[in-house]
Amino acid sequence: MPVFHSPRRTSSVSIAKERLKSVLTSDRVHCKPNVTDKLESDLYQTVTKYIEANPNQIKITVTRSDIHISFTGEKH
Amino acid sequence: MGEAIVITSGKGGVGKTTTTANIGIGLSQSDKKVIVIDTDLGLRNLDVVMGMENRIIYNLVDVIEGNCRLKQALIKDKRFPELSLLPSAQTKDKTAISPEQMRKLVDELKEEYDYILLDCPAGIEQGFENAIAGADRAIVVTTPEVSAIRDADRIIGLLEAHGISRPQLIINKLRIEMVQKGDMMTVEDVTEILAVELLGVLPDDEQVVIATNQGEPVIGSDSLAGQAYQNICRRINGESVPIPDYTRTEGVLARLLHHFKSN
Repeated sequence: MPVFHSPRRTSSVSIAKERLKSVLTSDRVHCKPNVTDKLESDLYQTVTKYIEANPNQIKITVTRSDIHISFTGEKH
Repeated sequence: MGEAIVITSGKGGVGKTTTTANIGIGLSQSDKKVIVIDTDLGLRNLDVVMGMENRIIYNLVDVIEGNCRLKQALIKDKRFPELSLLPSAQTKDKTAISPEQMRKLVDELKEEYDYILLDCPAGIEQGFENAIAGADRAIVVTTPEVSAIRDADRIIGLLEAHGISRPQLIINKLRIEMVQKGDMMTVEDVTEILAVELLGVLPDDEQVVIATNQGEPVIGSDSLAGQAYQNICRRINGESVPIPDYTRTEGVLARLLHHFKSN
């Protein structure tokens, strides 16, 4: 094991994980990868139209069968 | 009353058939009556992996079409008395049988066998529907690659849509050195993405190729893969066996301590 192991800038594993997350989300809701990004951003806009919140308080995740919007009321 | 388990993956070449053969053999050695069924019509493979290709007379389609009695088509493994194989048909295609017929057959087999292992074909078409029709639970096999994981995710969704919830995952062909170097996804990376229960991890092992060349099982040997399959069988039988961390790099001191402890 090399002692002075310099971390690579972007490992192929992190690229694989990013690509997988994007492709799985779109597979699960049957749409193109960029659509889910737009969907998440639209949902954020909609929620913040009625609720005062910042991006740290809202988490939107698309799973196989559900779209979860979690909101933590506490301000950071 | 036995339990029917389908071994599936979506993508081809990830190790469904090898896994079916080795788990079948492992379970049959724990005093359980086991039958393995090759449901891949037209692409018969489980028989050669198990070294039983010269003993086929009748096949799955013959049984379903009533050309023979069920007992006539079953091939008993001479090495493992509690294990039988129901081979696939090489000259038919997936439309030769229906999911309903498979369900009936599997229900009949459950009367006599403790475990019915269904080796599923690649893909998500009728062959998949046939293979999962009679299954009570599913084992999804994947490798730590983008394409295999994507297909596994799709399969997990389809299994759930067919009422087979909570499938278990086997991660196959894990290349330990690549993971250590950060060049291959870790077990945690894969389970985090797929969010299903992990049944076992198989390190990539030359012994699997060597054993399969000869139609021999790798389970029962003291190779990494052989031990991993053994552990998977114990977990299927309800034992709690921890999954070893193959990629942990032990320091010299830790290795020395381990050496003294084990002696």
